[in-house]
Amino acid sequence: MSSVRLRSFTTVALVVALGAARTAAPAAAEPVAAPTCTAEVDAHVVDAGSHAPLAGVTVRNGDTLVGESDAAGHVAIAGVCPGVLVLELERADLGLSLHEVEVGADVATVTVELEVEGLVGETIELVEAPPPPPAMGSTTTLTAEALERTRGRAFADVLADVPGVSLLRTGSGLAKPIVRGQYGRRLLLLVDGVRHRAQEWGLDHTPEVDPFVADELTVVRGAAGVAYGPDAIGGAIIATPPALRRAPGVEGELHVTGTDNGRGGGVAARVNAASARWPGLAAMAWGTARRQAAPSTPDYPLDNTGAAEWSVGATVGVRRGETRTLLSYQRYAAELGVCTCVRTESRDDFLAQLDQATPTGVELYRPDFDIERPSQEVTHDLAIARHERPAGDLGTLRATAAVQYDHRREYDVVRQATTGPQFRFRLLTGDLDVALDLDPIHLDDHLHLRGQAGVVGMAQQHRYGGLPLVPDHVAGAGGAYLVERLVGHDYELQAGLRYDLMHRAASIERTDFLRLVRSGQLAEDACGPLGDTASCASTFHTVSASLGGLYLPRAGWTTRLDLQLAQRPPNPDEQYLNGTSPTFPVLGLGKPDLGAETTVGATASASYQGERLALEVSAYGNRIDDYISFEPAIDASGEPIFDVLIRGTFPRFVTRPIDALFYGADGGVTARATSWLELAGSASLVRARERGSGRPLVFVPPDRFTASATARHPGPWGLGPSYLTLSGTYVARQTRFDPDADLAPPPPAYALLGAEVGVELRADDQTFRVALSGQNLTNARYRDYTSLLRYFADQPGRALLLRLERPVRLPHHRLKECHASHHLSRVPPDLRPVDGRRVRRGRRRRRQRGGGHHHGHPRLHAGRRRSRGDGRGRRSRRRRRRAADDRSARPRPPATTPSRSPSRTGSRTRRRTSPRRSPMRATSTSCSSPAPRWTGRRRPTRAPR
Amino acid sequence: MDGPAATNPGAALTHAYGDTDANGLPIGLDSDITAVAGTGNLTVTLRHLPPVSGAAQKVAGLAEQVAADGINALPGETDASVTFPVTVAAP
Repeated sequence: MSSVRLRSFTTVALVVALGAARTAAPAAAEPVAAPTCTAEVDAHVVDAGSHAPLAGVTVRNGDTLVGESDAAGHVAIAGVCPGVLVLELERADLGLSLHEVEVGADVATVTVELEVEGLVGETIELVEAPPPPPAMGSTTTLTAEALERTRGRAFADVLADVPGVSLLRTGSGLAKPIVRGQYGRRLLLLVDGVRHRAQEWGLDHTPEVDPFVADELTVVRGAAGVAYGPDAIGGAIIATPPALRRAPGVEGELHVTGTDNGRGGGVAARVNAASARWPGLAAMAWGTARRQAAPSTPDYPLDNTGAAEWSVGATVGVRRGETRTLLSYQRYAAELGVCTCVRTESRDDFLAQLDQATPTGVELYRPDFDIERPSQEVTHDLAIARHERPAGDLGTLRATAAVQYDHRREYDVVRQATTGPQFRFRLLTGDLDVALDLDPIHLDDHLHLRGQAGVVGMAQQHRYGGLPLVPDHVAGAGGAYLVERLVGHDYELQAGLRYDLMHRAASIERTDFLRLVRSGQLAEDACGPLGDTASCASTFHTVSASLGGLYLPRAGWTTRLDLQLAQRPPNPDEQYLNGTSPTFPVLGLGKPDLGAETTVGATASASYQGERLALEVSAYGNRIDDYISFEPAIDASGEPIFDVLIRGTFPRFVTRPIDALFYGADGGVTARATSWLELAGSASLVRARERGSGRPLVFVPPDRFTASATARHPGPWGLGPSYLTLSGTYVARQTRFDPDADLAPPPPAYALLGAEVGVELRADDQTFRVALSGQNLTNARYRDYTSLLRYFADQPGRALLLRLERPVRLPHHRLKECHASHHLSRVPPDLRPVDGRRVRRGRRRRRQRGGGHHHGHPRLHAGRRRSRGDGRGRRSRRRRRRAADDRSARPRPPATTPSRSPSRTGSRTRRRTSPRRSPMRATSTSCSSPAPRWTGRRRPTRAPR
Repeated sequence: MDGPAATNPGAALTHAYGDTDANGLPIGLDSDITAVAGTGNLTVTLRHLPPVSGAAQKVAGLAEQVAADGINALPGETDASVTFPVTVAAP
């Protein structure tokens, strides 16, 4: 046991860990000699209230820069001489604090925990929604630049470069995301914390979400049932909208995009304002519109794949103290043409054109804007009301009520006299989610317990009209969960448990019911008496559980092991599908008595985040019992069953439970080779088969590899920061497939080349960003295994995309804002530090101090405040300046940059991987410096010793 | 079956279109069928040929294209396709 004594200053709490010192040299035998500077200090910077690790805190020893704390709050200081070590800890939003660490002469390693809070008289309040229950699996978050680079693309395309993500392209040119081989029903989408409720089951139903809604998109790979709901077997995609402004003022952004292949473009704009007259009142509004003609393959246009999309939304929030209320509404609408080349009405037609190099009748195809039949029209409305308030000594209570209406209409090719859609789905869902974020319990200096508990409820009504396909249904569901997280010095344990109950009653037409009975999918007496309709009810009890561990073996490294149990009830379509599928020339039949499918999975991952290198690798395995599969029906003698319909002979496909195994690995690496060159790569491998027979499952993405090189320049030829990226994608041929379950063999492997050049322009104090990107530059002719278009046509050829982005600051608000920001300048109004929480000036919540735990600590307040001379004023200036920087310094990893779970990823850690700062909001709050601030500036750092 | 859409000289049935649309192209709702003794298959197909990008897919010579390459070589899609086995007895 080492003898270490620490002091803290009046404004700073400092905790020493005595027990965790790894070694303690035996003192008795050693002669007293001249001090040798060989001691190591293993510092752990944590938030004084929550004990959450603080990333991005600059640590200096006197004038010598020691380093910056990593995502786990670690800083290692080597070569420390015995005596008193004065550590300066600073982060813009937390201010400067000084800590003294006494290092005994006979000590090899000192482990200290440095608690940081604001300066005296400047308290920090942690408000805003806490992070979702921590995701222990592997995640990737797209923010700022990575997201900006995708503006102008549809939702799924934004995620295309994330490791582990593939796209299931539809005949309309849009796509569905696939995460580790799972999509649709098994992949959750959360928009502003609310589950997206739509017709995810359809292979050709793309997500009804505009990616511009989010300023942060997180992909959670692997089962996350406890955190997000019973059907997050493949993972979750979380779209987080930007926060409302805190500092009074108005800001906005405008994006304009245009493309040449699939001529067209889009605009997106957002305004974010906070009232000066009514403090705490803030609002945000956004809108997007995109219109695109049909793109062309290298040889011919993909006729009728034009698209028109728009979305609008607004959010109003009121904040009073720690109580917050928020109302939000958004609507997404799209009209999508389905390629004329898609022919699924007759099996003979379908098979006949499989052998053709070009679609039949291609000479009539035009790259025009017209959207004709077949086409889809969708609108999705989402209204959210959220209220958050302290719940006594327990923690913070957050209640969210949401109503969603998803209206999908699909238009088939029909006679001219017929109008209206042939398939019409109306899904109305109400969700209620009440969560209690428990205040941390400090078990001892190094051990803290954090938890979240919640209950959810859902009511749903589905009405369907049109050709026989799926029935109407009503459903109700409820669930409860508890997640506890034990946070230690260099490890974390997490356990979660969730229970869900769902009841669903489907109303099946008499003829459809009889067909299900005839085909053996349903027992005749399964649904009670049969009138004009049969009412088939089912109830599902599902349990999800998770157990995870995280260990930080050394600075920068994180290792994780995560075990998951998740159960998913079948979707209504899996139970009651009854008709020819709109996407394939097959007759699909559901199985009403399906049970829940059960996933048992494990994910192991390791990540490293350093100055020059960031990487994450994970491997996973999921064993799914009663995996609901859509497969060819086999008769008693093992022969496939065909049904003769009026349009010809169709193979019968049925949903049936099989035992499946999914496993694979994915990862990415980003390296800063030099100060200006950044190299990145990623790989995604998925394997899936039926256990026992070893038969491969369909639509499992083939192996995929990406590589990119980005060169950056702080400002060539008098321009602003610029970059040039070259990227390559290689997708292997899927060699594991079941020829009986698919209608055509997988297409060959392909490689694509892309490039992007971007530059920042400045005029007065406004910033413009212009980027030109090219996709499929070699004009390669290729087909994608996970594309519904692959049976009919090639993917689009070379495309150029021009992107223009500028922030907008309304002039007549500038004065007012400057006035306001003068008061608030020292805290960035919209800063997002560790844990995704925001920091605001104000009174610190007393109860965060944990019931006197710290006050009672004998060593806590034994220190003294150290004078900094003019420090106050100097700091203020510096912090004001950096506050503005911080607003602009949202993490912007390249899309392939692996990152950690949201709860562990501080913005600073990711910032370090990108030398250039976003200029987007950098022009604000600089009242004290009238000259335009150059945004590429970094705070001068002293060289490490 | 022999006729514009099938080349089977000497078949039991011989078909000729008995109607035309506004563009002077055959429809097939009204057909003249001549029979001699024999057996074979009669396939009746309803094919929709909606305009693509404003241009008609139904053009002259489609029946001949079916005779040469089969029904699946046509643009458009099949709405109904029924094959009847036919036996024509000698009088």
